[in-house]
Amino acid sequence: MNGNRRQFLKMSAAAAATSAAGLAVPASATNLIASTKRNRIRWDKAPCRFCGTGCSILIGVQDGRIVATKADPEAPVNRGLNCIKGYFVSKGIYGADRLTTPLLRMSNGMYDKEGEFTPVSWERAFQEMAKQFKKVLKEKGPTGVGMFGSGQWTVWEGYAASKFMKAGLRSNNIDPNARHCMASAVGGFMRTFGIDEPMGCYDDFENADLFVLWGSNMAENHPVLWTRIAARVLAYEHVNVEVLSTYRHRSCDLAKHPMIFKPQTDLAIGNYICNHIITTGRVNMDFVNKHTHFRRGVTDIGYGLRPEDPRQQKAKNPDSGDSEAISLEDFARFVSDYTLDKTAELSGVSPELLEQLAEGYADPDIKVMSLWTMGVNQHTRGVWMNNIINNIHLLTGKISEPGCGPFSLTGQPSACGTAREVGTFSHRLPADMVVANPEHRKKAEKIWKLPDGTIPEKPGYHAVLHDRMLKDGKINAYWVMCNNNLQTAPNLDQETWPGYRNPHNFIVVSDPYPTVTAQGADLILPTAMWVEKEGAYGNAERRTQFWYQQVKAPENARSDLWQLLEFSKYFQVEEVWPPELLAKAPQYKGKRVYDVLYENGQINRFPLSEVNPDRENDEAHHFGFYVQKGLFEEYATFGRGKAHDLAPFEMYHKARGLRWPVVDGEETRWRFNEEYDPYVPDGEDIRFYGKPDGKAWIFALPYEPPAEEPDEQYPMWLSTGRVLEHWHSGSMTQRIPELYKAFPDALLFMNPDDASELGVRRGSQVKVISRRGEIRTRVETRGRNRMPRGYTFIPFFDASQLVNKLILDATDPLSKQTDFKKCAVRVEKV
Amino acid sequence: MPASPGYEVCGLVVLTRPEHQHQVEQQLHAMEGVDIHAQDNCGRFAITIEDNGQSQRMFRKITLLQDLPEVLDVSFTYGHCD
Repeated sequence: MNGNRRQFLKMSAAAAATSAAGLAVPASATNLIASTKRNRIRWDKAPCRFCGTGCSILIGVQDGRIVATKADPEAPVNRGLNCIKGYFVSKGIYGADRLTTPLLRMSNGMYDKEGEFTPVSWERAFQEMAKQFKKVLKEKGPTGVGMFGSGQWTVWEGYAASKFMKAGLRSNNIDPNARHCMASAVGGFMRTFGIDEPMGCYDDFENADLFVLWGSNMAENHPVLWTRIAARVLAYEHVNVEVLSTYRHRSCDLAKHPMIFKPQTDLAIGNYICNHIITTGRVNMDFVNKHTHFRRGVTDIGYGLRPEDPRQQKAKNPDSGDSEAISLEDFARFVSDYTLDKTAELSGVSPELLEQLAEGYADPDIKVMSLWTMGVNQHTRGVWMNNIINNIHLLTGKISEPGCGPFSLTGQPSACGTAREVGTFSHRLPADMVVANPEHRKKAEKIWKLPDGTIPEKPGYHAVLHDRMLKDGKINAYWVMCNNNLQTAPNLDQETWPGYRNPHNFIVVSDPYPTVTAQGADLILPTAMWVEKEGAYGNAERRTQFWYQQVKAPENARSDLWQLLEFSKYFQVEEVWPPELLAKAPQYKGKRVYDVLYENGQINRFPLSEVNPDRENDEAHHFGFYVQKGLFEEYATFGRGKAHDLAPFEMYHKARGLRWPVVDGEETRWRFNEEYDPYVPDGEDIRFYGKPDGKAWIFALPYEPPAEEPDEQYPMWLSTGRVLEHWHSGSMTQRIPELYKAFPDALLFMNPDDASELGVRRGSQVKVISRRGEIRTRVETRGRNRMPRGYTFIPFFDASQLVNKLILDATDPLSKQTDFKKCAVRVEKV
Repeated sequence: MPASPGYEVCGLVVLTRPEHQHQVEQQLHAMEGVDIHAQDNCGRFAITIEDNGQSQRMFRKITLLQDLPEVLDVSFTYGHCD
């Protein structure tokens, strides 16, 4: 390479860094994109494939391969910045062991659950799959089949899947892995506001005076957003960060005094803050009187365990989300129990720090943004904790305005867009509707042009129940798409693995790589990923983002969308609907499920001439119409005019995403506030319109202990989560050489004194044992995570150390989200 | 991005506290292949890292950068390998 070219590339890099840092751009390094045209690289935008931040990446394609990436300087989310994973994201599609053909377990040319994986054609794969699904449908009906999907599905994939299961096969047993990720946040928003997702947006980062991280390690898990916070904290003396965590981590470095609390006592801390606000006379009475009601929630609700578990049997009100109306005075009496001294003793946080935190919320002149992810959501009282954080913001009126509000971050790129908004949960339909509501079902059936009674009214099994029902033989045909459940589902050995290998069950796994889950399947379907297809994701701030297909998938790998629609061609309506239902729509007699659901005159009304001629679109050309646009436009009819408005399809290909509701082409940054939200009637100032009377609910909810605590036999706490270099189960990031090398194997972070007492040191091999299983790992006593005595942490990205063997399958009884953050273990020297 | 790079360069933004700016600046200057292109008084640096060899080596430099004392945050803005 000649020196001029090197200089050009270096100046391009310098310009990107300087501009993203908000510093002066060197004159020698401007006009980057124009200059790179001479390199024959085609640049185009796509949202990152990893977390829920929704960073935009510029992807450089040359000769059909991605050769360069660049953080998108025009993206409002990341403003020209990437984290280390985003920087290497495109290498995630070039792993050496990409699956390129369907693989069926076979012996002597026939399907055999104990047979070897054998390459087969798509036709053979779908024939066997259809045979197995039809057999179960005939024997058990729609409740015998299930699908486990993902917050990594594109919006239209999730929509197509939900429609296929709920209307095609008439089974509500579809749930996304987002159940493990943010179901508690959904529960919290729905319960408090009657409508899902944060009212604020990322613009809050440049407006808040105080950021409070509730159990979140943003420095590692949402690095680009953390950079925005860090930039503000460093630039303004009055801006601070408070970090609440059960151990010290990288985010603590920016906080003056991190607060390390005992697991589950965040409930008490939240109630103490409410108590402090009330007793110091800082309730925003005008706001509270105009915009809120008070409720007392039912308590002692169990732990989402199997009904025969003694902890479940002991619960007085298992799974109850009921509540009754109370007054502000009742609420004040309730939280008065959470005194400073009592909360300090319970939580282990000093009274001085607790008071300082409470003052930050109480002071009317401080704009506060509360942020959380898995620490609050993966919690047996996750919905309660979400409610309590919402309470704090409602009591002070610090909500729905720039710099103020409760903001749940998300872990997956489309947990919001696909799982929540499309409604791929077992109880949901698009736009916050639910299957249990007859009006909602009726509306969905009308939009889908299907007869009344097509969608079953009973919610299906949620994620953890899927595994239990597979084990118990209640679900016998199961399709896993776009997730790695055997590496992530709790209590692997006792609750999950037995269901996958249950001889009566047929398990299909669609994935780009041979993951742990794929290896536990009976049929593996090779999947096209990310920019190998046209897609849409919705990030944590309600921003919907589109991308075009940039490259072709390898050999016979096909997208989830292609797989879903093609598989639906294998079913005649008569095979999946009862005669009485079909009698209501005789025009569908003799048709395939594909014809009824997808070639319904709505989805197939956009011709190929509307597809961008400068980009590939393998799905559109295969099906003969602009299938992504058709699915999107049909889906969008659910939310338009219902405060979930999405813009016309084409706008998203032009914009760097838009935040819904998008009304008359304008996105909404702060919902419920008249100044910003067109759904708030003139003169109302604030209206929480998710509730019929426009008033949000403040809940009195107590501290209740976790499902399992350390004891003599299992004396240490274990928490699991992510690290900066890897994303979720590592199926992509472990295949990116740089990221693999940076953090090759999971480690047990523990306190050096605990290690010393055990007779081990940094690097020693140990066994970690819980009541449910054991794994071997190595000890880490230094580095990024500094554990208090009695606390341990192991990341879950490493397929050779299945941490989920150790985890208790306790869930929040309301959201059904697993608590991955608290279980009891024993560590033994090997 | 394909392997076999002959030249690799990336642009990064580094954050530290203003009181540690000088210390971090010195540490950055001491790193091979690192150039500071701009900085302000709030602890922000715009830098590039170059390498002629394997991207693994580039990555080790980045990891080293993240582990420097008083570095609060490192973000990536641009990458190219030929």
